[in-house]
Amino acid sequence: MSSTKPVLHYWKGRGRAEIIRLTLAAVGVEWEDAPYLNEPADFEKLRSEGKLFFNQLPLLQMDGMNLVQTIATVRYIAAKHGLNGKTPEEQYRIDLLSEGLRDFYAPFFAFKFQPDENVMSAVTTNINRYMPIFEKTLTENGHGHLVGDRLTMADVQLLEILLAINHYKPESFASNPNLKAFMDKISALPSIAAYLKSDKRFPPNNDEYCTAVNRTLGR
Amino acid sequence: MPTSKTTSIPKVRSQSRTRKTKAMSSPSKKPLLHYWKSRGRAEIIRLTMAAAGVEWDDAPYMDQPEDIEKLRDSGKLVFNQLPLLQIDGINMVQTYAVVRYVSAKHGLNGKNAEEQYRIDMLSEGLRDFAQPIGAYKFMPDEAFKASVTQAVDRYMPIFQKVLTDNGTNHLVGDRLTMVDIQLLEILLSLNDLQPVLLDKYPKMKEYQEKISAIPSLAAYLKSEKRFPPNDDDIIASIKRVLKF
Repeated sequence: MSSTKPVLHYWKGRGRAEIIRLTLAAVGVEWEDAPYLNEPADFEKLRSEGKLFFNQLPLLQMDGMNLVQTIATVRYIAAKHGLNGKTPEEQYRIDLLSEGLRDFYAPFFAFKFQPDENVMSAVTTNINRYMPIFEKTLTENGHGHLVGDRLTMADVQLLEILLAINHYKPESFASNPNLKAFMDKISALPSIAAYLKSDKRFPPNNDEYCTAVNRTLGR
Repeated sequence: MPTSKTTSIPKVRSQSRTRKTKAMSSPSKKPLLHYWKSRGRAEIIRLTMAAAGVEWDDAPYMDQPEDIEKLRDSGKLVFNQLPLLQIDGINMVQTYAVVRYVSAKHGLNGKNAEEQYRIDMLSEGLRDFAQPIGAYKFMPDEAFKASVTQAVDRYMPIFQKVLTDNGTNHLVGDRLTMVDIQLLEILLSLNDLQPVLLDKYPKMKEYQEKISAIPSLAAYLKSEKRFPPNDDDIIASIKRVLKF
Protein backbone atom coordinates (compact mmCIF):
# COMPACT_ATOMS: atom_id res chain seq x y z
CA MET A 1 0.00 0.00 0.00
CA SER A 2 1.22 3.49 -0.83
CA SER A 3 -0.02 4.97 2.43
CA THR A 4 -1.08 3.65 5.78
CA LYS A 5 -4.65 4.81 5.35
CA PRO A 6 -7.36 2.15 5.31
CA VAL A 7 -8.47 1.15 1.82
CA LEU A 8 -12.14 0.58 1.07
CA HIS A 9 -13.29 -1.68 -1.77
CA TYR A 10 -16.86 -1.18 -3.01
CA TRP A 11 -18.93 0.22 -5.81
CA LYS A 12 -19.30 3.95 -6.38
CA GLY A 13 -22.40 4.13 -4.20
CA ARG A 14 -23.58 4.06 -0.60
CA GLY A 15 -24.95 0.55 -0.17
CA ARG A 16 -23.54 -1.53 2.64
CA ALA A 17 -20.31 0.43 2.73
CA GLU A 18 -21.91 3.68 3.80
CA ILE A 19 -22.14 2.90 7.51
CA ILE A 20 -18.41 2.09 7.43
CA ARG A 21 -17.67 5.41 5.74
CA LEU A 22 -19.80 7.31 8.25
CA THR A 23 -18.11 5.52 11.16
CA LEU A 24 -14.62 6.28 9.83
CA ALA A 25 -15.70 9.88 9.30
CA ALA A 26 -17.17 10.09 12.80
CA VAL A 27 -13.87 9.04 14.36
CA GLY A 28 -11.81 11.25 12.06
CA VAL A 29 -10.05 8.44 10.20
CA GLU A 30 -9.27 9.20 6.55
CA TRP A 31 -9.39 6.37 4.08
CA GLU A 32 -8.73 5.70 0.42
CA ASP A 33 -11.10 4.20 -2.08
CA ALA A 34 -9.75 1.37 -4.19
CA PRO A 35 -10.87 1.65 -7.85
CA TYR A 36 -14.64 1.29 -7.82
CA LEU A 37 -16.01 -2.05 -8.91
CA ASN A 38 -17.49 -2.03 -12.35
CA GLU A 39 -17.07 -5.39 -14.12
CA PRO A 40 -17.30 -9.02 -13.08
CA ALA A 41 -13.51 -9.24 -13.44
CA ASP A 42 -13.10 -6.69 -10.64
CA PHE A 43 -14.99 -8.90 -8.26
CA GLU A 44 -13.31 -12.08 -9.47
CA LYS A 45 -9.91 -10.57 -8.82
CA LEU A 46 -10.72 -9.85 -5.17
CA ARG A 47 -12.21 -13.29 -4.69
CA SER A 48 -9.29 -15.10 -6.25
CA GLU A 49 -6.91 -13.13 -4.03
CA GLY A 50 -8.66 -14.67 -1.05
CA LYS A 51 -9.44 -11.28 0.48
CA LEU A 52 -13.19 -11.80 0.73
CA PHE A 53 -13.91 -14.21 3.54
CA PHE A 54 -17.54 -14.74 2.55
CA ASN A 55 -17.08 -13.67 -1.09
CA GLN A 56 -18.93 -10.46 -0.36
CA LEU A 57 -18.26 -6.74 -0.23
CA PRO A 58 -17.53 -4.30 1.34
CA LEU A 59 -13.90 -5.00 2.15
CA LEU A 60 -11.89 -2.62 4.34
CA GLN A 61 -8.18 -3.18 4.44
CA MET A 62 -7.07 -1.78 7.76
CA ASP A 63 -4.42 -2.51 10.40
CA GLY A 64 -3.02 -5.31 8.28
CA MET A 65 -6.36 -7.11 8.07
CA ASN A 66 -8.92 -7.68 5.34
CA LEU A 67 -12.09 -6.69 7.19
CA VAL A 68 -15.39 -7.96 5.83
CA GLN A 69 -18.96 -8.12 7.17
CA THR A 70 -20.15 -4.57 7.52
CA ILE A 71 -21.23 -4.56 11.15
CA ALA A 72 -18.15 -6.49 12.31
CA THR A 73 -16.04 -3.81 10.60
CA VAL A 74 -18.05 -1.02 12.21
CA ARG A 75 -17.65 -2.65 15.64
CA TYR A 76 -13.89 -2.93 15.17
CA ILE A 77 -13.55 0.74 14.30
CA ALA A 78 -15.97 1.72 17.07
CA ALA A 79 -14.06 -0.22 19.71
CA LYS A 80 -10.75 1.19 18.54
CA HIS A 81 -11.98 4.78 18.72
CA GLY A 82 -14.23 4.82 21.78
CA LEU A 83 -17.61 4.60 20.06
CA ASN A 84 -18.52 1.53 22.10
CA GLY A 85 -19.93 1.07 25.60
CA LYS A 86 -18.07 1.97 28.76
CA THR A 87 -19.84 -0.72 30.79
CA PRO A 88 -21.55 -4.04 29.96
CA GLU A 89 -24.94 -2.37 30.45
CA GLU A 90 -24.04 0.45 28.09
CA GLN A 91 -22.69 -2.03 25.56
CA TYR A 92 -25.94 -4.00 25.77
CA ARG A 93 -27.91 -0.78 25.12
CA ILE A 94 -25.77 -0.03 22.09
CA ASP A 95 -26.14 -3.60 20.78
CA LEU A 96 -29.91 -3.55 21.41
CA LEU A 97 -30.39 -0.34 19.45
CA SER A 98 -27.91 -1.42 16.78
CA GLU A 99 -30.01 -4.51 16.11
CA GLY A 100 -33.19 -2.47 15.93
CA LEU A 101 -31.54 0.00 13.58
CA ARG A 102 -30.46 -2.84 11.30
CA ASP A 103 -34.05 -4.06 11.12
CA PHE A 104 -35.23 -0.47 10.56
CA TYR A 105 -32.83 0.16 7.67
CA ALA A 106 -33.07 -3.21 5.89
CA PRO A 107 -35.61 -2.27 3.18
CA PHE A 108 -33.75 0.92 2.22
CA PHE A 109 -31.01 -0.97 0.39
CA ALA A 110 -33.45 -2.01 -2.31
CA PHE A 111 -34.11 1.49 -3.71
CA LYS A 112 -33.71 1.45 -7.49
CA PHE A 113 -32.98 -2.30 -7.41
CA GLN A 114 -36.67 -2.99 -7.00
CA PRO A 115 -39.74 -1.04 -8.12
CA ASP A 116 -40.18 2.21 -6.19
CA GLU A 117 -43.68 1.34 -5.00
CA ASN A 118 -42.59 -1.86 -3.33
CA VAL A 119 -39.56 -0.34 -1.68
CA MET A 120 -41.45 2.74 -0.51
CA SER A 121 -44.15 0.56 0.99
CA ALA A 122 -41.68 -1.46 3.07
CA VAL A 123 -39.75 1.69 4.00
CA THR A 124 -42.92 3.47 5.09
CA THR A 125 -43.95 0.53 7.25
CA ASN A 126 -40.59 0.66 8.98
CA ILE A 127 -40.67 4.42 9.41
CA ASN A 128 -44.05 4.19 11.08
CA ARG A 129 -42.92 1.36 13.25
CA TYR A 130 -39.44 2.40 14.30
CA MET A 131 -39.25 6.18 14.18
CA PRO A 132 -41.44 6.71 17.26
CA ILE A 133 -39.38 4.16 19.18
CA PHE A 134 -36.13 5.98 18.43
CA GLU A 135 -37.69 9.40 19.08
CA LYS A 136 -38.71 8.09 22.49
CA THR A 137 -35.35 6.46 23.21
CA LEU A 138 -33.48 9.62 22.27
CA THR A 139 -35.76 11.81 24.36
CA GLU A 140 -35.60 9.58 27.41
CA ASN A 141 -31.82 9.24 27.30
CA GLY A 142 -31.67 12.98 27.28
CA HIS A 143 -28.11 13.80 26.25
CA GLY A 144 -28.64 14.26 22.53
CA HIS A 145 -27.34 10.74 22.07
CA LEU A 146 -28.96 7.35 22.03
CA VAL A 147 -26.81 5.82 24.75
CA GLY A 148 -24.87 7.54 27.49
CA ASP A 149 -23.66 11.07 27.02
CA ARG A 150 -21.43 10.75 23.97
CA LEU A 151 -21.33 9.52 20.39
CA THR A 152 -21.55 5.75 19.98
CA MET A 153 -21.95 3.49 16.96
CA ALA A 154 -25.70 3.44 17.51
CA ASP A 155 -25.77 7.21 16.86
CA VAL A 156 -23.90 6.72 13.59
CA GLN A 157 -26.31 4.01 12.46
CA LEU A 158 -29.24 6.26 13.35
CA LEU A 159 -27.69 9.16 11.44
CA GLU A 160 -27.40 7.05 8.30
CA ILE A 161 -31.07 6.18 8.45
CA LEU A 162 -32.23 9.72 9.19
CA LEU A 163 -30.23 11.15 6.29
CA ALA A 164 -31.88 8.58 4.05
CA ILE A 165 -35.35 9.44 5.41
CA ASN A 166 -34.56 13.11 4.86
CA HIS A 167 -34.06 12.25 1.21
CA TYR A 168 -36.90 9.80 0.62
CA LYS A 169 -39.61 10.91 3.05
CA PRO A 170 -38.69 14.12 4.88
CA GLU A 171 -42.25 14.73 6.07
CA SER A 172 -41.59 11.91 8.56
CA PHE A 173 -39.74 14.38 10.77
CA ALA A 174 -42.84 16.43 11.46
CA SER A 175 -43.84 14.15 14.33
CA ASN A 176 -40.28 13.33 15.36
CA PRO A 177 -38.67 16.68 16.22
CA ASN A 178 -35.93 15.31 18.43
CA LEU A 179 -34.74 13.02 15.66
CA LYS A 180 -34.58 16.04 13.34
CA ALA A 181 -32.53 17.98 15.88
CA PHE A 182 -30.28 14.93 16.35
CA MET A 183 -29.72 14.59 12.60
CA ASP A 184 -28.81 18.28 12.30
CA LYS A 185 -26.52 18.22 15.31
CA ILE A 186 -24.63 15.02 14.49
CA SER A 187 -24.29 15.98 10.80
CA ALA A 188 -22.64 19.18 11.98
CA LEU A 189 -19.88 17.45 13.93
CA PRO A 190 -16.75 18.66 12.09
CA SER A 191 -15.38 15.38 10.69
CA ILE A 192 -18.85 14.16 9.73
CA ALA A 193 -19.76 17.48 8.12
CA ALA A 194 -16.55 17.41 6.14
CA TYR A 195 -17.30 13.91 4.87
CA LEU A 196 -20.89 14.72 3.93
CA LYS A 197 -19.66 17.65 1.82
CA SER A 198 -16.87 15.63 0.22
CA ASP A 199 -16.89 13.78 -3.10
CA LYS A 200 -16.56 10.50 -1.17
CA ARG A 201 -20.22 10.92 -0.15
CA PHE A 202 -22.13 9.41 -3.04
CA PRO A 203 -25.75 10.16 -3.95
CA PRO A 204 -28.65 7.84 -3.08
CA ASN A 205 -29.06 4.78 -5.33
CA ASN A 206 -29.40 5.64 -8.98
CA ASP A 207 -29.48 3.63 -12.21
CA GLU A 208 -25.74 3.97 -12.80
CA TYR A 209 -24.88 2.48 -9.41
CA CYS A 210 -27.45 -0.31 -9.65
CA THR A 211 -26.31 -1.22 -13.15
CA ALA A 212 -22.69 -1.43 -12.00
CA VAL A 213 -23.63 -3.67 -9.08
CA ASN A 214 -25.82 -5.96 -11.18
CA ARG A 215 -23.23 -6.19 -13.92
CA THR A 216 -20.41 -6.98 -11.52
CA LEU A 217 -22.40 -9.67 -9.75
CA GLY A 218 -23.68 -11.15 -13.00
CA ARG A 219 -27.35 -10.52 -12.18
CA MET B 1 -22.18 16.85 30.09
CA PRO B 2 -24.46 17.62 27.17
CA THR B 3 -23.89 20.79 25.25
CA SER B 4 -27.19 22.46 24.62
CA LYS B 5 -25.90 25.03 22.15
CA THR B 6 -27.36 23.69 18.97
CA THR B 7 -29.92 21.22 20.19
CA SER B 8 -33.50 21.64 21.16
CA ILE B 9 -33.61 18.20 22.74
CA PRO B 10 -34.94 18.74 26.25
CA LYS B 11 -32.56 17.87 29.06
CA VAL B 12 -34.20 15.00 30.83
CA ARG B 13 -32.17 14.19 33.89
CA SER B 14 -32.26 10.89 35.64
CA GLN B 15 -36.06 10.86 35.66
CA SER B 16 -35.83 8.22 32.97
CA ARG B 17 -34.43 5.76 35.51
CA THR B 18 -37.51 5.81 37.68
CA ARG B 19 -39.81 5.75 34.68
CA LYS B 20 -38.24 2.58 33.31
CA THR B 21 -40.22 -0.52 34.05
CA LYS B 22 -38.37 -2.38 36.75
CA ALA B 23 -37.27 -5.75 35.51
CA MET B 24 -38.20 -8.45 37.95
CA SER B 25 -36.38 -11.71 37.69
CA SER B 26 -38.15 -14.82 38.93
CA PRO B 27 -38.38 -15.25 42.71
CA SER B 28 -35.31 -17.49 42.55
CA LYS B 29 -33.36 -14.52 41.07
CA LYS B 30 -32.48 -16.61 38.05
CA PRO B 31 -32.87 -14.95 34.68
CA LEU B 32 -36.42 -15.27 33.34
CA LEU B 33 -37.03 -16.05 29.68
CA HIS B 34 -40.25 -15.14 27.88
CA TYR B 35 -41.00 -16.98 24.62
CA TRP B 36 -43.07 -19.71 23.06
CA LYS B 37 -42.54 -23.34 23.90
CA SER B 38 -40.23 -23.58 20.90
CA ARG B 39 -36.65 -23.01 19.80
CA GLY B 40 -37.06 -20.09 17.43
CA ARG B 41 -35.11 -16.94 18.17
CA ALA B 42 -34.70 -17.84 21.83
CA GLU B 43 -32.68 -20.96 21.26
CA ILE B 44 -29.32 -19.26 20.76
CA ILE B 45 -29.91 -17.45 24.06
CA ARG B 46 -30.68 -20.75 25.81
CA LEU B 47 -27.61 -22.43 24.34
CA THR B 48 -25.40 -19.48 25.34
CA MET B 49 -26.66 -19.52 28.91
CA ALA B 50 -26.26 -23.29 29.02
CA ALA B 51 -22.70 -23.01 27.73
CA ALA B 52 -21.96 -20.38 30.39
CA GLY B 53 -23.49 -22.55 33.11
CA VAL B 54 -26.28 -20.05 33.82
CA GLU B 55 -29.60 -21.54 34.91
CA TRP B 56 -32.78 -19.73 34.02
CA ASP B 57 -36.52 -20.01 34.49
CA ASP B 58 -39.14 -19.94 31.76
CA ALA B 59 -42.09 -17.59 32.12
CA PRO B 60 -45.43 -19.16 31.09
CA TYR B 61 -45.14 -19.89 27.37
CA MET B 62 -46.82 -17.63 24.85
CA ASP B 63 -50.11 -19.14 23.74
CA GLN B 64 -52.78 -16.45 23.13
CA PRO B 65 -52.63 -12.92 21.71
CA GLU B 66 -53.23 -11.48 25.19
CA ASP B 67 -49.94 -12.98 26.36
CA ILE B 68 -47.86 -10.78 24.10
CA GLU B 69 -50.21 -7.83 24.37
CA LYS B 70 -49.71 -7.86 28.12
CA LEU B 71 -45.95 -7.74 27.70
CA ARG B 72 -46.16 -4.98 25.09
CA ASP B 73 -48.43 -2.89 27.30
CA SER B 74 -46.04 -3.31 30.22
CA GLY B 75 -43.34 -1.48 28.27
CA LYS B 76 -40.87 -4.31 28.68
CA LEU B 77 -40.41 -4.90 24.94
CA VAL B 78 -38.44 -2.04 23.38
CA PHE B 79 -39.29 -3.24 19.87
CA ASN B 80 -42.51 -5.06 20.81
CA GLN B 81 -40.81 -8.35 19.97
CA LEU B 82 -39.73 -11.52 21.72
CA PRO B 83 -37.61 -13.10 23.08
CA LEU B 84 -37.34 -11.17 26.34
CA LEU B 85 -34.77 -12.15 28.93
CA GLN B 86 -35.11 -10.50 32.31
CA ILE B 87 -31.60 -10.58 33.72
CA ASP B 88 -29.54 -8.46 36.10
CA GLY B 89 -32.44 -6.05 36.57
CA ILE B 90 -32.77 -5.35 32.84
CA ASN B 91 -35.51 -6.30 30.37
CA MET B 92 -33.28 -7.54 27.56
CA VAL B 93 -34.53 -7.93 24.01
CA GLN B 94 -32.94 -8.39 20.57
CA THR B 95 -31.58 -11.90 20.48
CA TYR B 96 -28.00 -11.10 19.54
CA ALA B 97 -27.69 -8.16 21.92
CA VAL B 98 -28.68 -10.57 24.69
CA VAL B 99 -26.24 -13.23 23.48
CA ARG B 100 -23.43 -10.66 23.44
CA TYR B 101 -24.24 -9.51 26.95
CA VAL B 102 -24.25 -13.04 28.36
CA SER B 103 -21.11 -13.89 26.37
CA ALA B 104 -19.19 -10.86 27.58
CA LYS B 105 -20.24 -11.55 31.15
CA HIS B 106 -19.01 -15.13 31.01
CA GLY B 107 -15.83 -14.90 28.94
CA LEU B 108 -17.26 -16.17 25.66
CA ASN B 109 -16.05 -13.06 23.82
CA GLY B 110 -12.70 -11.98 22.40
CA LYS B 111 -9.59 -11.44 24.48
CA ASN B 112 -8.39 -8.59 22.27
CA ALA B 113 -9.61 -6.35 19.47
CA GLU B 114 -8.48 -8.67 16.70
CA GLU B 115 -10.07 -11.73 18.28
CA GLN B 116 -13.27 -9.79 18.85
CA TYR B 117 -13.33 -8.77 15.20
CA ARG B 118 -12.95 -12.41 14.15
CA ILE B 119 -15.79 -13.41 16.42
CA ASP B 120 -17.98 -10.59 15.11
CA MET B 121 -17.16 -11.40 11.50
CA LEU B 122 -17.92 -15.11 11.90
CA SER B 123 -21.01 -14.30 13.94
CA GLU B 124 -22.41 -12.29 11.04
CA GLY B 125 -21.70 -15.10 8.60
CA LEU B 126 -23.32 -17.61 10.94
CA ARG B 127 -26.42 -15.46 11.20
CA ASP B 128 -26.69 -15.50 7.40
CA PHE B 129 -26.09 -19.27 7.42
CA ALA B 130 -28.72 -19.91 10.11
CA GLN B 131 -31.44 -17.77 8.59
CA PRO B 132 -33.02 -20.28 6.20
CA ILE B 133 -32.99 -22.97 8.90
CA GLY B 134 -35.25 -20.87 11.11
CA ALA B 135 -37.97 -21.03 8.47
CA TYR B 136 -38.71 -24.71 9.12
CA LYS B 137 -42.47 -25.36 8.83
CA PHE B 138 -43.11 -21.71 8.00
CA MET B 139 -42.72 -22.62 4.35
CA PRO B 140 -43.35 -25.74 2.23
CA ASP B 141 -40.90 -28.53 2.97
CA GLU B 142 -39.48 -28.79 -0.56
CA ALA B 143 -38.60 -25.09 -0.69
CA PHE B 144 -37.17 -25.31 2.82
CA LYS B 145 -34.94 -28.24 1.91
CA ALA B 146 -33.67 -26.44 -1.18
CA SER B 147 -32.79 -23.22 0.63
CA VAL B 148 -31.06 -25.08 3.46
CA THR B 149 -29.08 -27.20 1.02
CA GLN B 150 -27.97 -24.02 -0.72
CA ALA B 151 -26.90 -22.45 2.58
CA VAL B 152 -24.95 -25.54 3.59
CA ASP B 153 -23.21 -25.72 0.21
CA ARG B 154 -22.24 -22.10 0.52
CA TYR B 155 -21.23 -21.83 4.17
CA MET B 156 -20.24 -25.23 5.52
CA PRO B 157 -16.97 -25.44 3.58
CA ILE B 158 -16.02 -21.99 4.86
CA PHE B 159 -16.59 -22.90 8.49
CA GLN B 160 -14.96 -26.30 8.15
CA LYS B 161 -11.89 -24.53 6.80
CA VAL B 162 -11.89 -22.06 9.70
CA LEU B 163 -11.92 -24.97 12.14
CA THR B 164 -9.21 -26.84 10.31
CA ASP B 165 -6.98 -23.76 9.94
CA ASN B 166 -7.49 -22.71 13.56
CA GLY B 167 -6.59 -26.19 14.76
CA THR B 168 -7.94 -25.92 18.31
CA ASN B 169 -11.38 -27.44 17.80
CA HIS B 170 -12.78 -23.94 18.27
CA LEU B 171 -13.58 -21.33 15.68
CA VAL B 172 -11.60 -18.52 17.28
CA GLY B 173 -8.66 -18.78 19.65
CA ASP B 174 -8.29 -21.80 21.85
CA ARG B 175 -11.50 -21.73 23.85
CA LEU B 176 -15.26 -21.64 23.56
CA THR B 177 -16.66 -18.37 22.24
CA MET B 178 -20.12 -17.27 21.17
CA VAL B 179 -19.52 -18.29 17.57
CA ASP B 180 -18.92 -21.91 18.58
CA ILE B 181 -22.40 -21.84 20.10
CA GLN B 182 -23.92 -20.29 16.99
CA LEU B 183 -22.32 -22.98 14.84
CA LEU B 184 -23.42 -25.68 17.26
CA GLU B 185 -27.02 -24.52 16.97
CA ILE B 186 -26.83 -24.83 13.19
CA LEU B 187 -25.25 -28.28 13.30
CA LEU B 188 -27.78 -29.60 15.81
CA SER B 189 -30.64 -28.31 13.66
CA LEU B 190 -29.21 -29.87 10.51
CA ASN B 191 -28.77 -33.09 12.42
CA ASP B 192 -32.48 -33.00 13.27
CA LEU B 193 -33.82 -31.84 9.92
CA GLN B 194 -31.48 -32.87 7.10
CA PRO B 195 -28.73 -35.06 8.56
CA VAL B 196 -27.61 -36.33 5.17
CA LEU B 197 -26.21 -32.85 4.43
CA LEU B 198 -23.61 -33.39 7.14
CA ASP B 199 -22.21 -36.57 5.61
CA LYS B 200 -19.74 -34.59 3.55
CA TYR B 201 -18.37 -32.82 6.62
CA PRO B 202 -16.92 -35.35 9.05
CA LYS B 203 -14.88 -32.67 10.86
CA MET B 204 -18.09 -30.83 11.68
CA LYS B 205 -19.68 -33.95 13.11
CA GLU B 206 -16.66 -34.39 15.33
CA TYR B 207 -16.82 -30.75 16.40
CA GLN B 208 -20.54 -30.97 17.11
CA GLU B 209 -20.02 -33.97 19.34
CA LYS B 210 -17.19 -32.34 21.27
CA ILE B 211 -19.04 -29.10 21.92
CA SER B 212 -22.28 -30.88 22.80
CA ALA B 213 -20.37 -32.90 25.36
CA ILE B 214 -19.43 -29.84 27.44
CA PRO B 215 -21.18 -30.79 30.72
CA SER B 216 -23.52 -27.81 31.09
CA LEU B 217 -24.46 -28.00 27.39
CA ALA B 218 -24.98 -31.75 27.53
CA ALA B 219 -27.23 -31.31 30.55
CA TYR B 220 -29.31 -28.69 28.78
CA LEU B 221 -29.65 -30.72 25.59
CA LYS B 222 -30.99 -33.65 27.64
CA SER B 223 -33.35 -31.46 29.65
CA GLU B 224 -37.02 -30.69 29.08
CA LYS B 225 -36.08 -27.05 28.39
CA ARG B 226 -34.68 -28.21 25.03
CA PHE B 227 -37.70 -28.19 22.76
CA PRO B 228 -38.08 -30.16 19.52
CA PRO B 229 -37.97 -28.59 16.05
CA ASN B 230 -41.04 -26.70 14.83
CA ASP B 231 -44.21 -28.69 14.33
CA ASP B 232 -47.73 -27.70 13.34
CA ASP B 233 -48.77 -26.92 16.92
CA ILE B 234 -45.87 -24.57 17.43
CA ILE B 235 -46.50 -22.78 14.15
CA ALA B 236 -50.19 -22.47 15.02
CA SER B 237 -49.31 -21.05 18.42
CA ILE B 238 -46.96 -18.44 16.93
CA LYS B 239 -49.50 -17.41 14.30
CA ARG B 240 -52.26 -17.23 16.90
CA VAL B 241 -50.28 -15.03 19.28
CA LEU B 242 -48.92 -12.74 16.56
CA LYS B 243 -52.18 -12.75 14.62
CA PHE B 244 -50.91 -13.63 11.15
